[in-house]
Amino acid sequence: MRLKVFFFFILSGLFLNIPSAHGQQKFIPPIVITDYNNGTLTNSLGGISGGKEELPGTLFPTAIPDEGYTKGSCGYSLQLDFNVEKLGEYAFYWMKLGKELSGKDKATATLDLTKYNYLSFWIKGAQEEGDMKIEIHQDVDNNGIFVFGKDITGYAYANAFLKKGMVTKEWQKVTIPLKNFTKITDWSKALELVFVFENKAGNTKGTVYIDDILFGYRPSNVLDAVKAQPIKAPVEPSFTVNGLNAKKCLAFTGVTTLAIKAESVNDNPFIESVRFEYSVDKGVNWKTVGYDYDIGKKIYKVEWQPDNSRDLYNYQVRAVASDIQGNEKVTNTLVECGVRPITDDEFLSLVERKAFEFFKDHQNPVTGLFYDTSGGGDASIASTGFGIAAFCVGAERGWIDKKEAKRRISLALDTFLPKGAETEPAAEGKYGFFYHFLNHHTAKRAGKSEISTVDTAILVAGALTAGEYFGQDVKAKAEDIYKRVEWEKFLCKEKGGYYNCYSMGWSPERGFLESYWDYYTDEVVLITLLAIGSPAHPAPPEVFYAWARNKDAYKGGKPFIYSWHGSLFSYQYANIWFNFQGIADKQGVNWFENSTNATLANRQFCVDNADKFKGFGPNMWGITSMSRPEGYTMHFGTPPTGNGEPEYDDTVSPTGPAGSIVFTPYLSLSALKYMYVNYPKLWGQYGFRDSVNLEKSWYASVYYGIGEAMILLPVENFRSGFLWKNFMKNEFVKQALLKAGFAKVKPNKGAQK
Amino acid sequence: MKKTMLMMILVSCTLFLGPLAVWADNQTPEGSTAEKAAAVKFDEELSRMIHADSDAVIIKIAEEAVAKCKAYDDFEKFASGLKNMTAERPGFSHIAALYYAIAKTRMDELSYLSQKNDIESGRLYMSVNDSYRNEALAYLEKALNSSKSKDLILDAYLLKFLATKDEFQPQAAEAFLDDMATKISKYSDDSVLNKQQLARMADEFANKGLANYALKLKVAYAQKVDPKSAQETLEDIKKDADKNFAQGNMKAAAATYDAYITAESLYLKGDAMAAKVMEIAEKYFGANRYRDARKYYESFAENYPDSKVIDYCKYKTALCCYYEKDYTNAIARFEDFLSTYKNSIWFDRAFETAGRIYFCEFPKDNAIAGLQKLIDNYYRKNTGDFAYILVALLRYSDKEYAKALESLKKVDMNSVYSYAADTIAADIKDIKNGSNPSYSFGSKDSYKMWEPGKPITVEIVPMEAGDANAWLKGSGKGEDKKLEVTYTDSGAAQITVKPLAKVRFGLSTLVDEDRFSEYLQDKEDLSRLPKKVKDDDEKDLISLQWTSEGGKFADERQVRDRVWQAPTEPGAYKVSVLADDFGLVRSPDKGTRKDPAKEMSLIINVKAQGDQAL
Repeated sequence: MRLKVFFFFILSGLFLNIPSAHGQQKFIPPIVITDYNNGTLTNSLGGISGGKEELPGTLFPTAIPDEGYTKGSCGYSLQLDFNVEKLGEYAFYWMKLGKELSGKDKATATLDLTKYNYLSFWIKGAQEEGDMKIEIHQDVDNNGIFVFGKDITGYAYANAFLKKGMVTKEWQKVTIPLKNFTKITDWSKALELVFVFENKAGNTKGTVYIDDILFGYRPSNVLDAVKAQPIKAPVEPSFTVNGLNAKKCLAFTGVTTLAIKAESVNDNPFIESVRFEYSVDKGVNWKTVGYDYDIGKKIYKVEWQPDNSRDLYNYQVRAVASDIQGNEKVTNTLVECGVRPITDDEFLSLVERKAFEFFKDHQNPVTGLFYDTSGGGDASIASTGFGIAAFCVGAERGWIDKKEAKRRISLALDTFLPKGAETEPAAEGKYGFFYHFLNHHTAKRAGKSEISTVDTAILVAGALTAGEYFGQDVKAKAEDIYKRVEWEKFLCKEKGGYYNCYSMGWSPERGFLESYWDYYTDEVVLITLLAIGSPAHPAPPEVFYAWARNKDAYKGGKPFIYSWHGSLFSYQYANIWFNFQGIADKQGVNWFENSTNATLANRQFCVDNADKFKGFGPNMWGITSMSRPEGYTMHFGTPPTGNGEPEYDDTVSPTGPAGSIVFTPYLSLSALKYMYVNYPKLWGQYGFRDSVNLEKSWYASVYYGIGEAMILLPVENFRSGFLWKNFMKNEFVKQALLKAGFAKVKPNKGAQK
Repeated sequence: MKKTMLMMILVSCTLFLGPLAVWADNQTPEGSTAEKAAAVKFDEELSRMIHADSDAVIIKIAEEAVAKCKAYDDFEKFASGLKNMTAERPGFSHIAALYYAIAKTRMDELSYLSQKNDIESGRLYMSVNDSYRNEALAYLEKALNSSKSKDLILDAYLLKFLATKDEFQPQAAEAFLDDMATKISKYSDDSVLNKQQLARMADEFANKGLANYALKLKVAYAQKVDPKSAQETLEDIKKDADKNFAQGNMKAAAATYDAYITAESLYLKGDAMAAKVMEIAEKYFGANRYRDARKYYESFAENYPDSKVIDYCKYKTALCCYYEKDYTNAIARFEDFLSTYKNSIWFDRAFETAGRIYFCEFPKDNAIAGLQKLIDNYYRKNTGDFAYILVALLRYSDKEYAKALESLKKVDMNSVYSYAADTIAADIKDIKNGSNPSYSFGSKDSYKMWEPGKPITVEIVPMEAGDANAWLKGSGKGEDKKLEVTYTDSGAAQITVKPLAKVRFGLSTLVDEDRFSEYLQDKEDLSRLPKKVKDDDEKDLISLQWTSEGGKFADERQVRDRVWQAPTEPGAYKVSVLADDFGLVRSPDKGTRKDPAKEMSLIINVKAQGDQAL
């Protein structure tokens, strides 16, 4: 579960021995580099980290939420899978001790450690391991980049600092005085922290877990002491909840301050922290609520917002004092509590907001482009279109200041419009269309990316939504982007199978791609309607009827026009923007109902195959575009499909039910609740992870902009109709529907379950 | 939020958000949940309830009333009527039943909304879900506090469970389920009556599609009663698991076995419990579900490391990996077994299987290195010699005849493999002399290991043949594509190909348990049979005999996979395979046992170019 932890100090503080008026010493707490509880490999300094994934010698790092593998059974820890089986092999995990420096590729800030004198972390192995080398890299030439041989490497081996003399299956505290890193000459320029597994140090192949990495300070007599002064357990009667003594609280909810009196560093120089823990199984297992490392005072506090959305029914709280050697003293149960569970609406709000935070955290501050994934790399124009719409939702919901949302959206829109006297926008493209992937710094084409019709359409749809929501200059910019798209340039006018169909893209190397939007998918609905409604380059209405529409049913369900791969997302994209309820095209197709029936088929397929696939079931469905253990796929789907060969494995994605929540409200809501409650690992920093494969116990670690959008935007439509309301206010959008021949029909009454 | 306000918002939401704005038409959607007028009256039901003489009658009337509800407002009206009745008659003799009825109505109302699949109902459901469930729980609590009926109390707990099951605190549901188990265990002093109630409530769960909770209830019940009753309940659970297993409901079977083992371990200890775990492992192994089997073997090994049959357990675990095609893991486990259980009766089999894995599944150099490691570490007469033979065969197949002979020379002349060694050596001698080998690789026949007593099932799988040479070299499998088989009116399988098309015929159901057996050719000379077959009366051999009416096979080897080429002339041709039992299994009373032969044919329609054919 996610725990909201507030440390009562800031990371940049110094840890000084300053004599106070009473002869006592004033302390400033340590720098907690990371506890991995943000679920990523980026530390609290903003420094990224990674492994050595190329032979010889490999190491794969993962932030894992597995209880039992995280210190305190809480949040996340670092899992290092290494393989150095052969003689002479080594592999390592590196961590930058500062943020990326803007304008300097791969350069990062250094960390000033002059006021600290020890490094500490917790470690355990899946089995007993050899010795682990710890390196600290000093940036000699101040360029922010480590170069072996040029910059300095100080190192120490962990076993010498482990009580058991080696990494075992139990958690052990490692505390290494920095003086052991003898080669470091300037502690103000710490650039990287590295964990190395060497074959020569007795390592072969294994897994090691690491948690709670920090730098601290203690006088040398304390640091070097073989035996610590015994610490005392926190004082039970002093425990308070929100300032009040409490033994029982029945409705423990909201942000709560837990406080307790314990030894300060003046009482015991070995003490390092006090933490609070809770148990939901009557004291059998305890999970960490949060730490207070501010040992200069006697009252330790942790703020906690009990997660009333998952496993807290009745629980107990206790406090634990720890010293720098890893010794601990625990109180008895301090209080027993219960919480009010969240409501469905609160849950959906949480789901939405978490997805929104992905977009908030993944926009380039210069170009306004949104990253394709949480894994860094390039921006995508689809993610940008969705991100713009997400900011509108965020502004409306109050998750971001409306002015700030407008500023950020304008920043993105400006990138797609020529500035001043220039004729081309910063974002690279052709005929008003743009490359699918763009360098997020420069907005130039990324790699061999193609100019993409569908992704440009998503960008335009997002822009138009923002235009209607904010009006005025945002509307003008959005419609300018729309007007610049020369739809006819990508339209096939040659008589034949692709007549009046749009090419999927163009690239300098290949020219127009040979693939055409010649078969139904909700994407082609979006493309063709936007093309028809174009204010400057309108396409003939016939383009809406130029692609193939094949209809079939899945096992006695209602028939529907199916897509080529049968992927659930291919029934969702246009319906994010267009509200097709109650209207049908000239051929009498109600595209809302069509997607409803397709969703029911997708779910039914998972129900029917629940015995064959561990991960399928009435509440475990959603075969769609998603990541899977072998990589990302756009081709997974369920029958009927145009290609006649639906592809799937045990993987399902929450984006499936979430993206279809307007079509199957109860079924989608139930699935999301089920996934959330029963598979906590499917929930991370940005809410639902992209997918899960239960057969392989695999959970996607990367978040995708298009996946987050398929959670946030449809859920918002379900709750308020916000996207539909704004997008369809646009005059050109209305015209597109009229020109394409849409007319009113009986509103959707819902497909049969 | 008051209901009317909620309705107004929902209706205005629909009007405002819908695409109707395009046509400026403010028509209210038809048939919406909000609009349907509540035309149903419940006066009669409410009146009958007042005069009812039992809880059961009241609940039955309530069910009738709920069945009349056709819209959200109908439920509202009935629930309101019930609530008014309880407020007006606090001393009513069956007030608990009324409380229960209110709760049930609320739950049915939510169920009604969940069945409707439109946005409006979805929003309505979401807006009332939390409050209605809480209201239901509150009324159920009142029912529990005021009821004297044990049956009603059990029903109330069931409803409490259902009200919380799919929500955000599964512990609450589990707690209610546990409470229910407690109430059942104390239903009466008669354990038979209690078990009847347990069965009734378990059926209630099962009928709602919640068989897994029926299982949990039984497990919880078992933990609350005396050991004898608990044991009986757990045996019932195991029977359920066996039934699911027999019916092929493997997901349910797995869940039930898991629950059974967990619960049973509280009562049975030591060998008795170990035997239960082993029984399930063996059951899965026998059903070729090796992954499931391995789970139980591993559980056995972890929990009963001092068992007398731990060697067997470890051997079977390795064997599971082998059958799962996880060869690296299988090798690791077999080698661990060989180093740990040198005196085990399974030692020779483990050695041979490890050797076979190296021989069949690893690249030549790795295989030879692996086999050499087996010889170096675990050599014994016969088993070690088997490894020497395999090394020789690998050398032989790469035409490294001198090295092959070196390996053969190491075979103990008194071992059962000496004859095989001599045969291969004779082959090499023939080859060196420029003549065809007399034995082994010149053989045209192939014999397969087979389970006796099982009907021989052979299915021909036709594939578009890739590079036949690559196939013979053992690397062309991936290039073949399966061909579509259709059936004639008489049910005969057929395919359609073009003239001169090359088709590979494989046998899908024939398990190649011992590739080494392909080396053998003389069924009369039992001394040449693999030790496994010769000594083991559990296995048999079958021979394969392919025939073709038209077209031709690429070679004459009677192996499992044959490449066949269609003739130039269009027409219908036939390829058949006869799988015949050697009858090597010797039954003590009846002499040799021989299963009936099985013949399978496939019609090949050869059509000229331009027709739809391969």
